[in-house]
Amino acid sequence: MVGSHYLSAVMTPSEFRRISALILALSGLSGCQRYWLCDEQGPERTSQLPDRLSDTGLYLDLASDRMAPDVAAYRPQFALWSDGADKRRWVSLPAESVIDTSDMDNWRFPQGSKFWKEFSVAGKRVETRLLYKSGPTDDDWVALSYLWNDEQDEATAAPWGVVDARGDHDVPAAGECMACHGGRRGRVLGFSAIQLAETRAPAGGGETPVALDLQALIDRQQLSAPPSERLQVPGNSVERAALGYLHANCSHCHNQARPASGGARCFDPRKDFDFTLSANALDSPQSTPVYRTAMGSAFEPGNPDGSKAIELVSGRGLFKQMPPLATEHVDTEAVANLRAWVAGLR
Amino acid sequence: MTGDLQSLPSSADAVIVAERAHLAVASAPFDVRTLSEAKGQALSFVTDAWYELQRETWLGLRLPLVAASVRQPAGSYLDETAWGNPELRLARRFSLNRRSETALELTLGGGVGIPLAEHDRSLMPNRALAIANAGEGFAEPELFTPGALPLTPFVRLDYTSRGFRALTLLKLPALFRVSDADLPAIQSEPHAFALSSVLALEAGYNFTRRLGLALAAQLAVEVLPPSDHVRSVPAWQLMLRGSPYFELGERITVLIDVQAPVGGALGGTTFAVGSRAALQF
Repeated sequence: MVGSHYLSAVMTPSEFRRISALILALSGLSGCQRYWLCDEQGPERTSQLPDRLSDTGLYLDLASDRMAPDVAAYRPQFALWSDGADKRRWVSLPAESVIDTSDMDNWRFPQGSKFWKEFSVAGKRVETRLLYKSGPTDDDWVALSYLWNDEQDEATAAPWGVVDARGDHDVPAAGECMACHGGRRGRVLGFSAIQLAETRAPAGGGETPVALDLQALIDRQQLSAPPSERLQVPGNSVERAALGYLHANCSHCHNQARPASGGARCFDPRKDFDFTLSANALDSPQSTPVYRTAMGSAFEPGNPDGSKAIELVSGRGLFKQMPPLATEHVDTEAVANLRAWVAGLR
Repeated sequence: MTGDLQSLPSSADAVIVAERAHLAVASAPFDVRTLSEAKGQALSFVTDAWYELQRETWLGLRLPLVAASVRQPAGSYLDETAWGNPELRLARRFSLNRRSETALELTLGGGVGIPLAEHDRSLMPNRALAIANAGEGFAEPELFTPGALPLTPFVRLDYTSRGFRALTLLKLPALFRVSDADLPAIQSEPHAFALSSVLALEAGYNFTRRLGLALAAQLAVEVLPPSDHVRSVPAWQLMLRGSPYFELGERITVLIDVQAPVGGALGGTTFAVGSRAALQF
């Protein structure tokens, strides 16, 4: 840390960061000019989380893969594409706590809530990500990934991320988590009214049985304002899959209800598109934000080849891929469905 | 002069100040198992000053500063600034053959670096410096390696004849480890001593009185790496550079650099553009 003292003798680190960011922005090559730059989550925040996954409260017995009694598995009906990695998800909510669902599209979780997501590649666990709400406000979420060891008997904190863990799976740095999660007021993605409204059996089987869905939360009286009617994504199967893909993979950035303050982010995605599935706009496909905001711009009805959004989700590489983070392989199944959906639009 | 930062003024001027600003886009090997590459863009500034202590004996100082946008594992970018190692240099020039329009000069010198290059547990400054070093084709480890005290002897041969100039530079940066540079113990294996050799050839020709073009080739060979490599990395790195230049009056030379590593660990993934400006007075 010699250099930090050395630097501060000339000017403050924040002054230096601002100057260098300006220079890089002027050069046109800084991420800050694009949409995926995010600030670091400092060690003072990650230090709130244990160094070992086994100490986070997820497991009753890690060796036998038995979860703690207050931990419940869940599965969103539309999953984020993670280059084909298998995923398991769990949540732990404080006892007797209630989720603030006054905004059905942006649930606010009680202090002490924990969410885990485990990633496996070729049958081996690679990482488990943890989101922990350490305080009462939306900015109090702390995120950290844990890298599994070769023996698969423990995972340890990887605050700076890992490049090419088990093949080409990249573990995000802690500072990167809010690049996506910071785009929604509640910070949690995949655990929402729409995502939990329907739970489908996993295509390949083998995943942990789902213990928690929307109805279970209603039954347990854990929602401050339960939905008054059944939430069903409109349209035929192609339309539902397309809208679901956009909701799960794009809407955390491209939405019009982003937090007022960027928090731990500074990128500025297109806000004129809104790829959200909103609980209040499910009457028909045409009533969804996607149809209202992205037709004629991101999507050209009847013309998949002329649709910019399809070009981007079909590509990989700097400046030519969507989503821009955490994926190096195209979700060919989703692209095929999006193309079929756009081709059928009039 | 071609404005190369190693050069000394050929006139009787007693001071030369040069500034190099290179913007590199690089994907460099990084010797930490969990972060095996340093990828991003780096704008490196190297201020280079020489002062003539006595006739043909020069004292120099180099000061490197890097502003980088470093790619994180999942693909986001973070900005980072980092100082490299300042370097004090001493050089002695010998005139081997000087006639009215041609000259052949030999310069012997050496530099000692002050191990102040920034590093941090996040490895952000370490990676920023690695990107800058890659942008220079691994030719300046003495400036961009944190946690090491560099000693860099060099020898340089200059030939000038009317509008033609050529130089050959050989330097041997030796790095003595003085700290772990925040490299995580179980993820990296830094060495107590590292050595590389850099051979650079540059030739320039003035097409007009003020305008010219310099072409350079540079070969960096890693004899002993600063750390065990995590990935298989060739020991050599070739880099080519083209530099149109123009002279403003008798005292200022400005070069526009376009350079790209060829082969080695960086070929095809790294390039840099920028400028060098030298003022002598």
